[in-house]
Amino acid sequence: MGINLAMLGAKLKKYRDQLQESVAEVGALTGIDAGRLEQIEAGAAEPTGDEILILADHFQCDFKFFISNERVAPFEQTDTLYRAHGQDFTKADRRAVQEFLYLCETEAFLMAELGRSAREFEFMPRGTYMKAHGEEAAHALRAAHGYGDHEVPRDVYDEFRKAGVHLFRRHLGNSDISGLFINHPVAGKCALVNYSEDVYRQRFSAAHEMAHAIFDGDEQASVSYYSPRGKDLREVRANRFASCFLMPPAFLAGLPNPRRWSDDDAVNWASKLRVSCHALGIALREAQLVDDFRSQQIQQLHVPRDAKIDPELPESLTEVQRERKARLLQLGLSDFYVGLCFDAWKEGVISVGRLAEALLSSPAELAGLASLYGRSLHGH
Amino acid sequence: MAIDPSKFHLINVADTCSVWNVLSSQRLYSAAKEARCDFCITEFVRYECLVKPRKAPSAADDKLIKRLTTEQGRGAFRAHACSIDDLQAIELLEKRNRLGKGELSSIAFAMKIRQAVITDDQKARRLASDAGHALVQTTPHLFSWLMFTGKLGDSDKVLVIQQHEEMDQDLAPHFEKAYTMALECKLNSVPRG
Repeated sequence: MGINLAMLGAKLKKYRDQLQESVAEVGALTGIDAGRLEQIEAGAAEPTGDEILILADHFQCDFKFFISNERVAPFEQTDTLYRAHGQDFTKADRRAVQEFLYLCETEAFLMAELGRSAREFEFMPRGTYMKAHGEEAAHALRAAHGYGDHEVPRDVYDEFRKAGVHLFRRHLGNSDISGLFINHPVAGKCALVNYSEDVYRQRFSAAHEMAHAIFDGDEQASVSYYSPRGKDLREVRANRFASCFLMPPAFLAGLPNPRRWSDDDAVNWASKLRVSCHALGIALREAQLVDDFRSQQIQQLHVPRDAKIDPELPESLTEVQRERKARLLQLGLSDFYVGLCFDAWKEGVISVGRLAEALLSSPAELAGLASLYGRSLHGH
Repeated sequence: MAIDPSKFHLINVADTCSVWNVLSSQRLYSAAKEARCDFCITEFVRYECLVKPRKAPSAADDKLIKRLTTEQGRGAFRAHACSIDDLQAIELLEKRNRLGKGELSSIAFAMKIRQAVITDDQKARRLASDAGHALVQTTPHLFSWLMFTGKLGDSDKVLVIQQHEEMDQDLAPHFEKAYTMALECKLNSVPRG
């Protein structure tokens, strides 16, 4: 099958440009001579199959993207993202986004192969009042997952994965980015939550990105910021969804009168709801349970760091396990994802080499990972 | 593990795990060389073994890397490349999400040169065979064959396993089984009078 070398070279160059890497850097990281890389990018030399595999590994994409015309990589989506928000993504962040997309693609493949694909939550908004869309969708999703008005989902990440979103938490250097949503051509709806932020803010961000998955799934990609840039009604709707999903208005209405709360009461309720005081202050004002002044006061309070619970780093872990798992979680490796990878290996869906790739590791590092997650690598 | 200790294909394309397993025991590797076994790798496997950055390489990793580099300097484990056409084999494209890229390139290259792939992962062996390449071998099979042919003696078994474990590799139970299989095969092959 003939290969269009010009097209192949252009794809490689675009990827390199997106990741803001020089030819010399890619050369050093892949062991491919820089001059040869330039020739390949110019369409003047045909890469070997191994060079294609090495570059696909470096750019963390399906190698088929380079040797066919199939849209198997989310290249257009990241292109859209960086055209609109390029200045907000450092080189390290772009690499993080690339890894995140690779994890999403792998997760979608493994879930399908293991027969665990989630049923996508669908919601049809009515009317033009976008805040109401958020409220109604939050109510519908809570109901679909069996939550009554007085129940608060503990592990929201798990809830949103069940609703068909590939959700990963990943450290991003830009602390103003709370998360992003990408419609992956193969994996579908993918959401990234910035792990650099406070645990409860991440929880809210996950719900915010879930809203984008529900309402804005037709868009290629979107970025959410902690400090909104201009008045974007889609962002307002996503925030309203997140607020109502985590703090249902019916639940807030049943609380002891918030106007009489002390600051400690406010912190306690935020802690019980596993939200920031900032989010709780806004939700109470929206529910007309406090005035602007009191809302602002509550928004300034803080739940103590050691009182916050991360469902993906449970208290049951030892300190060493917790530290190691936290480091892996920062890279996007959640318990859910790691478990899925090991299950796929155990079931014979993937080989050990693919398992190592899926876990962003070398084969030599697998034994340590298996032991940390209580898995075994026997079965050669 | 269905292997025939009396047979072993001499020319092998090694994937990443098997490179480390073969080199993990110097006694095993020297016996393999003496028996004229030849191991080559693909460019991708070379990249995975020697170029791709690792998070926290152990002392054993460093030793194995040094052994591979030394052996390459002696002309062994030479790196070859498969072509884009080799990768485009439909069976391989279909399996691309199930196999690691090192395994994929090793199978593609072994298919091209019609030689054996040596891989120590059960799933990779099955997937290689599903992808249309039946000539798949393992490091325990190599060990078993070396035992059967007398290139390794009984006293070498403990040493091979000890050296292998010192390099943090995990095939010891399979070496034990392979040893037993070699003995059984040897017994069965003795003409009865």
